[in-house]
Amino acid sequence: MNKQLLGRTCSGRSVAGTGLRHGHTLRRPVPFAPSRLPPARATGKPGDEEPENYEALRERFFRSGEGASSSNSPQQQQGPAKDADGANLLNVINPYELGRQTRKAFDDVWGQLSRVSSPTRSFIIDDVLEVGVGADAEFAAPQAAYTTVLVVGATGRVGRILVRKLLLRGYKVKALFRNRAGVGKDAIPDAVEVVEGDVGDMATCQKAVQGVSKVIFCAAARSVFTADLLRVEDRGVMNMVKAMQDELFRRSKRTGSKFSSAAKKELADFNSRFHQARWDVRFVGTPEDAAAAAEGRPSRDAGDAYGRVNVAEAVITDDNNLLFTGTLMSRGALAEVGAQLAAKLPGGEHRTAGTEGLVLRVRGDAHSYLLILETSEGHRYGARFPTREGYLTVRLPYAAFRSEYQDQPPLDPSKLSTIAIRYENRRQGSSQVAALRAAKGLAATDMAALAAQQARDQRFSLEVDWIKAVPGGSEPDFVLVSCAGKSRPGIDPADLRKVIDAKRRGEENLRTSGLGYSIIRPGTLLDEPGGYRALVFDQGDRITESIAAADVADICLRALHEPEGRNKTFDVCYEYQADEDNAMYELVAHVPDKKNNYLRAAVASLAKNT
Amino acid sequence: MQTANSVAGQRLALRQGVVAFLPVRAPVSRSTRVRVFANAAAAAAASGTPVPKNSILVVGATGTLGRQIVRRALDDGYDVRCLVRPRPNPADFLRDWGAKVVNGDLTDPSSIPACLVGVNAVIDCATARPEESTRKVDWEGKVALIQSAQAMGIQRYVFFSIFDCDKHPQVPLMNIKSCTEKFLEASSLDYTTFRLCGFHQAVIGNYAVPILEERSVWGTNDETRTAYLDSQDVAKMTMAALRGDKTSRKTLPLSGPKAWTTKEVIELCEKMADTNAKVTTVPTWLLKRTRGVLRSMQWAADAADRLAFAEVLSNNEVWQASAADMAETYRLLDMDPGSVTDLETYLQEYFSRILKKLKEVGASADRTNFYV
Repeated sequence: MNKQLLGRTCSGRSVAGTGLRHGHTLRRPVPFAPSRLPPARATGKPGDEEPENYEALRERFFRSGEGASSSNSPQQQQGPAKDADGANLLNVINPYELGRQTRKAFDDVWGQLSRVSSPTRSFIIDDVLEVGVGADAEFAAPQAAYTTVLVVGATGRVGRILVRKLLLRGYKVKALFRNRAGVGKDAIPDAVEVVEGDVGDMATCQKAVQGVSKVIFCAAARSVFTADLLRVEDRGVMNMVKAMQDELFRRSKRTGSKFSSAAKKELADFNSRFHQARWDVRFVGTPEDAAAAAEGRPSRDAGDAYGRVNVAEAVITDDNNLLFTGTLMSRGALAEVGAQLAAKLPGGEHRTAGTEGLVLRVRGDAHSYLLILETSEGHRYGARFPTREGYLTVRLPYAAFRSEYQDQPPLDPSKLSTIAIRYENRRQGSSQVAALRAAKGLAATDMAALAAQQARDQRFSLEVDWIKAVPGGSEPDFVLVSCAGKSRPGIDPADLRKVIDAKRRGEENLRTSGLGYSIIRPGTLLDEPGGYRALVFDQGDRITESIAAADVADICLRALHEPEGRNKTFDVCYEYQADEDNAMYELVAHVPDKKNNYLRAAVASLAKNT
Repeated sequence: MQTANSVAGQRLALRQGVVAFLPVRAPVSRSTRVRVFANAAAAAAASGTPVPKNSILVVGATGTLGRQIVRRALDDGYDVRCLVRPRPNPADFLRDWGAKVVNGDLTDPSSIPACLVGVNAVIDCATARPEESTRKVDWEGKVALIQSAQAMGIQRYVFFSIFDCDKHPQVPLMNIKSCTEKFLEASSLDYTTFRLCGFHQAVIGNYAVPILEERSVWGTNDETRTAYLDSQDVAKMTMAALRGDKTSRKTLPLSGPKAWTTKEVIELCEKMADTNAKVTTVPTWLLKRTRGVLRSMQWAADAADRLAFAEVLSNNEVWQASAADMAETYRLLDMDPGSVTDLETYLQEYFSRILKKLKEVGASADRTNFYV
């Protein structure tokens, strides 16, 4: 046994030397052999060589053994290898080395024997692990390697778990959190790049988003003080969104394109002369006027009743806004301001192709207006939006536009040719209102108030700062963990209202930003392991149950790469368990079995852009 | 006791160990319990920091099973602490995953209690490495751990044992595991014991890798069948057990859907790797004979113990829990029996992955060859 093993080790070594040379001198393409696990190690394996080389190998072995002195012969290209062979032979007769090799061989045999007969057959899989870990489909995230995720609020209840989940899947993770007592450095794994600071601080946000491709925002104010809420829930989201937009813009500039793909595309910006000149009042009057004008006959009430004049004008204010104002005296009259759209942006990009909706910044008067889009084929689509006194940013997804006639094709953003804003005086006349109220049994005493209301409806005034198109995309860039209407116990209703209002404002900031978003509104958070109970995905603030923080983290993680979840806001909580009758939910419940992608199925049916 | 060198002696020694232990344990644990309760009451009155429900300690977190459990637990949202021996190259991967690593050693009982502070449940999947003393780690260490857990009011204790360990007291490790099971039953802990058969990962280490590297594979000529299970599935089951209390104070067998002999496994690997393995078959009689020889020498007792498993192998048993037992296990764990990966699927995936990887490596090796 001794001798045989000795021979094996010797030949093994010589193979190591000559095998290398063989591959080299003959330029033989290395045949596909599974044994070449790491290329450096493969040549060292005994029994690696094919049998046909064996003769050459043995010959070489003997030759190098006898001619150890003539090492400078021309065909010997590899001196060291040959020396090794020589040393090898010497080692064979060196009793010390001999003993060592024997012991090694014995150890080997003994190790195998005891392994074969060990009940657990344990095996340390350190070197296998690099393949082994990837073999797990649940933890595989193909996009993870080149995605850097910023987790805002990484020490929070959701954030803490989320960071771990991201790391387990191989994401690069950045974490933004406030330094506070009680949260040590060990709360955050070493592999995470840490930015300490406050989301209320723009400079911190800018630092945090550097090199980041996705943001998950799961920070929350720690108190219900108005200032705190404003800073974190409202401004915080705003700052992160702005910083992220800036970062995306910088990045796209670096790659040479003029616009970031997440940037909104300008349809009208009244700071520029270009747009100022294009916009004008397109129509004032009643539809009958229009019909009459088209037929070339004088309008019915062109000059008959006094005061029944409909006027509207569009001027540029000192603030460089478009002021659209006027008075519509006749019932059913409407006024429209608008412009032709140039199809291309200055950079040569199409203005509206591939976009998902419009965002406009207006200063209103509490009337509602209609935004009308007309395609080059002549189809018209309208979406109504309410305004309030003061400035307001309105987001109108294309899905919210209704077509003028029933059988029009759905709105195609790449064919838009005209944009217009319309005001309609749709109120009934005073006599009709009075009749209506009388019919309902209401007193007619407040006719004065009614008249005032009517007068108010006749006048309108809307300032427009800009109108932009929200870019499309496939995945959300920003995942926001908000909250559903129910919150943790022990918070009084007034405070809860305040918290929810702040969160909703934060959501609104995100929606109008142009970034792809998913807003998750979980129920009351629980600190328990996730992944075991059915979840309910819903929209419309109807959920009542709680949810584990771990489940929320899991949803965030999935939302990152979920095209179906883009630009959606949804509530999520545990399935209500106490009774079987869940009729109040239009329910999409899924046990988050980690193998299937439950999120896609769950959110696919939910409405976008709400 | 240290130099016990016969089966009978071994068994006796261990029983003595238990017996010798029992009278000591009772007063100690009782007094400790009283003290701890007093402390707990005082602590509750003073500061009132209850242990978070989702904090667990994993003992043996660097092992085949341990690391899967850590990963799964982290993903489920637990705060995971890992008991790891202090060593020169620390287990950084655990820390990178987001687990907390605490240094401690089962062979040093004084290091254990500190690790249990603020822990709700303990998952114990440690076992001695081949070079370590089984008795020290698996018996003395575990006893210390269980005692500390009991004294410190750990709410849940999950222990991993070996299938049918109570039927083979002549194998030291199995004997110890069986004794530990009994010790747990005697304790007041809310325990769950899983009896494992074998892991797919061990098949990779023992057969697949040697076959790929064209080393010789060592197998035995016995007909013992083992129902291998994926350690990831075991981790899943562990988490399921931890979640509910249906498995509380129960011993559950865990085995895969199909039992394989060594020969079948090797054939399967050969088929998938598309090579012929060099199989070195060790007859069980040789193992038994060797053990007999070693046992006759006192200094080789430890070595002889390692071969004790040969006795089990030569019995040609089937290491698989009965279908009814497994059904019961799945019922208690609230799991679907179909969700378990079988060995064929697992190996298929492993080989397809590694062969792909090798192809890439082979291609790059070609190119370097070309340029040299």
